[in-house]
Amino acid sequence: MSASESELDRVVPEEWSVTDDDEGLAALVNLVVVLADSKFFLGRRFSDWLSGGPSLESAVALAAIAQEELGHARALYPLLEELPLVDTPGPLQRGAERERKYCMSCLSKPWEWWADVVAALILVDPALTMLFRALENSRYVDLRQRAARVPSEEVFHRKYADGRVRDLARTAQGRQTLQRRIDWMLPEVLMWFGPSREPGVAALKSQGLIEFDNDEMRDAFQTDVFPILEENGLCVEVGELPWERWNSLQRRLG
Amino acid sequence: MKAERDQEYYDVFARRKAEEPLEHVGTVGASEPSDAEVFAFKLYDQWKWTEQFVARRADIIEVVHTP
Repeated sequence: MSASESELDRVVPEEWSVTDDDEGLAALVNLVVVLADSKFFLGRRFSDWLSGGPSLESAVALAAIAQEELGHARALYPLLEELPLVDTPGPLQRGAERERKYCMSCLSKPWEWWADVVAALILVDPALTMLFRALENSRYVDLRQRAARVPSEEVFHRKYADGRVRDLARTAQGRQTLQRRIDWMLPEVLMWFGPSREPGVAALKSQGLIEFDNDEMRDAFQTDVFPILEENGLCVEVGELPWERWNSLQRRLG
Repeated sequence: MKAERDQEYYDVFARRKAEEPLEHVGTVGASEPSDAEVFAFKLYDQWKWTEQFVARRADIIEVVHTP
């Protein structure tokens, strides 16, 4: 999480006791808005495809998943109002309330293919869940409580995702289409955890606000997700990540 | 491009309270048991069940059938 933006007011009132460190507080605000915006746009992108799933069962399950993603966003946005910074980003209702969005660029525009939905189910959603897991023991109680329900709901998202990967990958054409969408999304998802030893995340970790550092989260994500992709004949090699195009504040490729 | 494998029917059973009998609440079409589990959980969520099960219809042994 970025901690270097001049737009963030660095005044930390004494009555707010989660952290008295400017860098940690700025990183915490960024963390909350990144999680909330990412959940918001993931839910929106899934909802674009509610009538596009390959079966009615699949569509209903996706509708439930979209609803839960939006619910997670809705639960997180009020935290921005309680954090003691002036001019924190406001909550999104319809997505156009502010110009700056704090989510991966792959979530910014409607998807053209069902394979985009499947790639996001198996890449973006588990990446977000990994960050929520890193908050399960956070010293910030309100965030910890909101984060606590997410991994249990995500168990079904993941089962659904694994099934959709197996569906698409069972034919050469489906596997190739899914591979192209994975090749598009995966570098940004891996970068979303941030570069090694990122100062904002280091500040959060040192203050007990997050449990894992950038590399620990990225490694755990890869351990969690790569086996199902490889078992289905999908390649997860990405080469060198394009950090020169990385926007650390908005957590997205520019 | 067909985006799903061949499906089979699964019957969905659930009960609201431990002392209540198991009810047949519906069916789902799924290509593997874990999909049936997800679809049943998401489709038949009208109650907060204490237990819910899916059973592949082909595995159910018919004992009596009255046309």
